[in-house]
Amino acid sequence: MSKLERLLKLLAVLLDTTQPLSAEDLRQRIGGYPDNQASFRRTFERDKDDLRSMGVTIRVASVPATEPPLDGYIVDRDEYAGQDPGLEPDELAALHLAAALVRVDSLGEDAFWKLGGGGSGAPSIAGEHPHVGTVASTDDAGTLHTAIAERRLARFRYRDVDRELEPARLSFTQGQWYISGYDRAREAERVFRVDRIDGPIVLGPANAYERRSARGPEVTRTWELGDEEPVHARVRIDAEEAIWARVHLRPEEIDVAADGSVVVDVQVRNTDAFRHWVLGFLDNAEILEPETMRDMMLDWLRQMDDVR
Amino acid sequence: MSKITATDRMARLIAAIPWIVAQDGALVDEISDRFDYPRELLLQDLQDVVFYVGVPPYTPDTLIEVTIDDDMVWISYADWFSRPMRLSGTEILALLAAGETALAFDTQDEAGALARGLTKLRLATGSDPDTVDVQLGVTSENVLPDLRAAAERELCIDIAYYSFARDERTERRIEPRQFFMDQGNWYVGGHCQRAGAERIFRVDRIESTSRTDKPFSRPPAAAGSIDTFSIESGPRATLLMPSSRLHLLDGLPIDSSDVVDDVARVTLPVSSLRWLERLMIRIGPGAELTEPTDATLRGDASQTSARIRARYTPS
Repeated sequence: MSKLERLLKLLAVLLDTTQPLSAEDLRQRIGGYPDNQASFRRTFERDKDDLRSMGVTIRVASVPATEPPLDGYIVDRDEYAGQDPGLEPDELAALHLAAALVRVDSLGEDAFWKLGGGGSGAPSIAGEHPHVGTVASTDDAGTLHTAIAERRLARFRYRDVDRELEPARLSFTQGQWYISGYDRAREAERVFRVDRIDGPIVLGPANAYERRSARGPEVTRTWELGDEEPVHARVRIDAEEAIWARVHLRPEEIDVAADGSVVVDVQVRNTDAFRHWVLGFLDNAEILEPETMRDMMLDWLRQMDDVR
Repeated sequence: MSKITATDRMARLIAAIPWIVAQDGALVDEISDRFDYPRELLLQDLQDVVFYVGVPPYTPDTLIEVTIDDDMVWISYADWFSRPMRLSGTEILALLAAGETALAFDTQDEAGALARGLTKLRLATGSDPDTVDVQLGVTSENVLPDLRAAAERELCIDIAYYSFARDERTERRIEPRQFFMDQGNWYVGGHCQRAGAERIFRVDRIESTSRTDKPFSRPPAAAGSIDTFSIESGPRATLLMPSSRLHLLDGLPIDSSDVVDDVARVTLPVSSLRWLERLMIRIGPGAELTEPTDATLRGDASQTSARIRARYTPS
């Protein structure tokens, strides 16, 4: 029996069964495995790895009524198959063209096969043809997407603190993925840059929390991405730089003066990021309140001069 | 494609089978094309492999039924493979990011096929805009469409551009020809009449645009003439800084970076003194410029810091 036939039969049997099947059981049902016990085990392990590398989730559970309990294997049909978006041919072709125009590292033709194939005459995604840009994508962001869709808690380490997040929203902005949600460890809304997460992300069981209605902080507002007690700060920004203030701020946070300069009112949770943002305006901006933030800025600038 | 492994073929088959079932028969050539499956291999695998796939007791009613007649293929009784595999979270995000990016770029699509496809994809995968949000840094909503429209009609366009590198604001008439995206930012390239040369502009630094009816003054530049940010050559600076603050350099082109005892020595291209000053002030205490050893530059940097301080000191 060819490897292809064996793999297809293995997947069919795992999808068909209603209870976990032991390795020996699968060997009997599928046939075509080596007679030698050791080479059977090796081949069987490799087959499972192959299915998993294709993205098939094989659940491992005890086979009922075995003592001592025997490992059994099963593939849940609903976990295996997704909801078909039902794309019309022109929609699929447009998506395929988009993926050819904007290259994403982790996106291959196999994603399109699941949607019904690339379509006749479509340019290959990975082919050598002009493209307008690239987008970074990571498996960590993919894991967090699963967590959001299935309402699973995500545990990970970030800035040396263990987090327990109810993930709510993934944002792609300025070339980076960010995850926001409710951090149970901190009992507050938080945003994390996905590529700065330390180590693995461990997901808990599905349907573990109710979605909260708040959208959470905006990720480009870096001064909100921190664990400090929130402090209200007011900053004056000169007229010539005012347009850049508007990029990150909401209209209700901005007061426009007669000369075109603006005073903005923001909540700061990350002093470092706040200073970084204000310094970007060089001498076209000044922190007005609170006094502690003004002192922080003056200290910063004085220390720099001392070094020189 | 001479080398196509068993798992490669498997991935294609478990996607192709539900599609063929749903079509109620399909042309061999179309299956081969859609799923990138060499025709002869496809026919062979359907006849010699898929035909024998099923579950015990492998009686006809528990086997997949494959019928091939001339150029058509029909498949039935493929219960286990009646639905395609679920897209992984990574694939969903990649599709959404690519699609939303292309949507921002393609001003023709509005409510067209791409927008409809993305909406369906979001619905089917639990990814509404509140849970997956793709933002492309664009200051003003009509800047990119205006540039695209000008490029399509080959008409010059006036832009108010803020150069972060030089810290200056300029009015320019440009001939937009080329668009690309990098690190989440859109760029437009083309002839700049003010500079009299090919230039690249970051779209989110364009404050406003104003359309003109003046046609382009020149033919497209030779390929490759505006393909870089001209960072290969040009001045360099070397600085020492605490390694704990290296993340401030994320996204900048860096030639080299060595860390010894928590101090990083970094060499990077410098587009202007203003730009370098801003970087030094942001890195802050512990930042030290080792090259160039130019005294005027040191003077400039401390003047910047003094100017900012002056704002905080009552006169």
